[in-house]
Amino acid sequence: MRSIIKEPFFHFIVLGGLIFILYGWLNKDTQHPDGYDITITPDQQVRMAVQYQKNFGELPDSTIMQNLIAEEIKNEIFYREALRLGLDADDEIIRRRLKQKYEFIQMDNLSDKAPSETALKTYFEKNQQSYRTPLRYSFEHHYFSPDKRKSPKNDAHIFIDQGGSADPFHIPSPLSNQDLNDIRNAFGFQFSEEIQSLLSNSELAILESGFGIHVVKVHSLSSPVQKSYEEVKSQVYQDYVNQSRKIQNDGVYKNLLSKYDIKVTEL
Amino acid sequence: MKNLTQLNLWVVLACVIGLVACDESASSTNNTASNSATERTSGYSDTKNAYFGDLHIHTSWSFDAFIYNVRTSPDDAYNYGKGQAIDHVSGNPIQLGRPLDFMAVTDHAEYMGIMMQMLNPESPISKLDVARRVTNPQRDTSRAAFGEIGLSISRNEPFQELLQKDVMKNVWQEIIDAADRHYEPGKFTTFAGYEWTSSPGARDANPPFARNMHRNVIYRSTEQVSEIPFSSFDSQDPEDLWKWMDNERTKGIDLFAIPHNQNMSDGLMYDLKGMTSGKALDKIYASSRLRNEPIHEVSQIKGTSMTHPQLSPNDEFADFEIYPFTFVASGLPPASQADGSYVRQALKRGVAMQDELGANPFKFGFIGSSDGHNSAGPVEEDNYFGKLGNIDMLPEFRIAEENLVLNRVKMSAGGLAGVWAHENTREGIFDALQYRETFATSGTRIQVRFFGGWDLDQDMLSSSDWVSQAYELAVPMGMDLKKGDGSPSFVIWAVKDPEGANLDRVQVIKLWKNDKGNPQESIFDIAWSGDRKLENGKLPPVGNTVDIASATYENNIGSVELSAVWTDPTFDASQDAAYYVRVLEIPTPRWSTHDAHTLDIDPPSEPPKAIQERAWSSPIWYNSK
Repeated sequence: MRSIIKEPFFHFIVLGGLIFILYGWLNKDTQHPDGYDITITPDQQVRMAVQYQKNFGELPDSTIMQNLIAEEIKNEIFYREALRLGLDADDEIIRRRLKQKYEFIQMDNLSDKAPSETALKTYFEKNQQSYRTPLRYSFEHHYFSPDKRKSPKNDAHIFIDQGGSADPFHIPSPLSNQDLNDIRNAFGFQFSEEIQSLLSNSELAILESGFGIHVVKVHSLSSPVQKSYEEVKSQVYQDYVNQSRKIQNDGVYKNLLSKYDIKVTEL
Repeated sequence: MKNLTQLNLWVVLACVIGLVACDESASSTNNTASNSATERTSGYSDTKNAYFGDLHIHTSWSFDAFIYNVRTSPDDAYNYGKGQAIDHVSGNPIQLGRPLDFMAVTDHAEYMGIMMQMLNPESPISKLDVARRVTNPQRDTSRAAFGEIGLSISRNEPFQELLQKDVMKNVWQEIIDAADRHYEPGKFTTFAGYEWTSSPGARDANPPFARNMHRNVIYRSTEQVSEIPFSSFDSQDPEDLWKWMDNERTKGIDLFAIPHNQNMSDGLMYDLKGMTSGKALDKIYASSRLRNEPIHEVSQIKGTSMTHPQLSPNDEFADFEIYPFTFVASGLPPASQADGSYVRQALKRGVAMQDELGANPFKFGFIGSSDGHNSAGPVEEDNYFGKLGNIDMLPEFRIAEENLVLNRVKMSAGGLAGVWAHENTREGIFDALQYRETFATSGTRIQVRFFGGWDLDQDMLSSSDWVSQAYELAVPMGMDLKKGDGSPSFVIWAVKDPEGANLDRVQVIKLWKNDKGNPQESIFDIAWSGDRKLENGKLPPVGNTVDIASATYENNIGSVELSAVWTDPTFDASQDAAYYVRVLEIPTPRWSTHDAHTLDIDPPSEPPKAIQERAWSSPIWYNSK
């Protein structure tokens, strides 16, 4: 905390904030979008500086700051002229953009803090099960083609009950040691989801894919192996940031929601 | 000589401590390409697997990505390729539905990584006047500076102060290292590569515009790579690039170049004369191009370069994702002429020139890729996030009414490179590309097999080992069908993307030379879904299940799999020809229709609201001599 207090940027923000409050109090009624006076507040300037730092890695010097301000003034003028023309009325895109901008700002607040190594390790330990080598399936599959059969699903049932012949298929059977990504690449999403309901040495089961109907028997499932923190560090970092972002956003939304009185009238 | 002796000493020493395997090849000093993957990886197949990848990705280390606020790196790009979510300038993370099998980051060689140095206060580059203008927050200033940088490439008048070899070498090494960090043999293959961005300009035109002669250079190994990329500042003429590549090869460096955006070359890419020499193409040109450019990219974000409706007026499916513009620094770009800018015309001209030249100057296979500039390729229509940083990062920037005059809406979701290889390794994928056993798709994962032989068994496809038979009795796509007895027959098989749309039809496109020596094209429907019948030689449309308002479709028309053994009914043994396969899906909503659905507005009236995504096999050539 002490190191933050020493930061010139911290002074900049605090001072800016104070000036902003004072200025806001002195100029309560200016800054109206239908007026012709424009004030670029310290608050806006801080925001511009932060955004600039985000894109360019360092705080703007005074020339750049002047340019940022000039750009902002131009934007403000165009914005007001657009409002005067009524370009905002009933515009779905503007509504969406505002919503999106709001969301973006929420995320912005978070991204300044880099998570500490301890926080990341704790997160890793709590979520160890997400950092294991994938399950690997060894299975046989028999294909029933919608191109060649009127009711491939029926035929698949008959195959299970009475045996018989399936259709030729481009993916060989049996397959061994396939993780879910391999399975998804070969058979598509639906099949890779459905196969997860099968256990090792399963009965013959009917699964669906983008290709049609498959009768599948899982022979074996390999057990997953835990990975070490060092192996998955970058993934942990990303997951941690995503999770914090979600917690933060959910919190913000909860607060907002509590301010509103919501009624959904029945149909 | 001294170096050689030292090398030998080092090898002996390494042998003694057991660092390298000490067979004959280890101590031999000739520079053959290293073959590190001698062990087979788990997915190895005798009859080859279809792998899908993207050999055209830019990151913030490309000047143009940087300028539009992209800040992600080659590491991000490879993570994206492997299926992870990465940052996007819009603030919303981006992620592929399915991981890719292989990828190459191909940042522009011109000012490679230099722009990032403009942000580094430690670097003297950040103090340069041009750097100050590029990073100037006033958009007009930074845009103008960007325009100057773009123009400096097309005029071939680089900012000398930005050509810093040491910086470039470091960046290049980092690109190679990133490829190595993410290479997982058998699972995910990466290549070292870069883009040679030759954009010869028409500087007297108003506005001055540039023609696209770009190529991506891809390396087989990361151990034997160029010290520094050959950029368009070294020369804008592809013949010089090929000379440089030939020379690199003498050092044991294995590499090829992939031309792209022929559609934006304004007739230059397949011109019938040399770019600088102005000389008619000859045998030397033909063999040089063949050696250095085995495959061409035909489908990507900036449009499809297969053919243009003007060039193929009788092809009802020719009007597909056409993006017929040149480059300008700002404003609306002038049109790019169709003649000389499309693959099919070049291929048929090549066939017709074979006799006269004694070589074919336009003989190549096909791939698709994305050319995404966000360290990511947006290849899925329902997961499109634009091409280039903040200019098209949101749906409204792409399709809202006031943006329609810009051509962003005519950009296409990217394509994919399909490769038939035994296994997913650098050697496996690179060699398949080199031998043109490749196909292009418009982003979907259709698989297509294509073999040519003589009097093949019409029932061949009903046998379960037909692929092994085909490899034994016929040649695969990308090869020459040597003169034989009887009629040539072709085994063709296509299967849909398991997460995509059903198939409408399979066609063979034949390019040939008539008796007068003129190049010709014919299209044959050879397999299709349902019980449609040819009417006057024409196959009726498959139908359309697309619901525009919800941006959805149903797979209740079309086929899962289409195949045939096809014999050319018009075959004449004395006529040279080339054949390739086109596979069409049933109509599905275009990305702009998905965007409109997201925004809850009507899709723009142009381009089409639904498209038929497709795959194109590499050709098989028949030479009558």
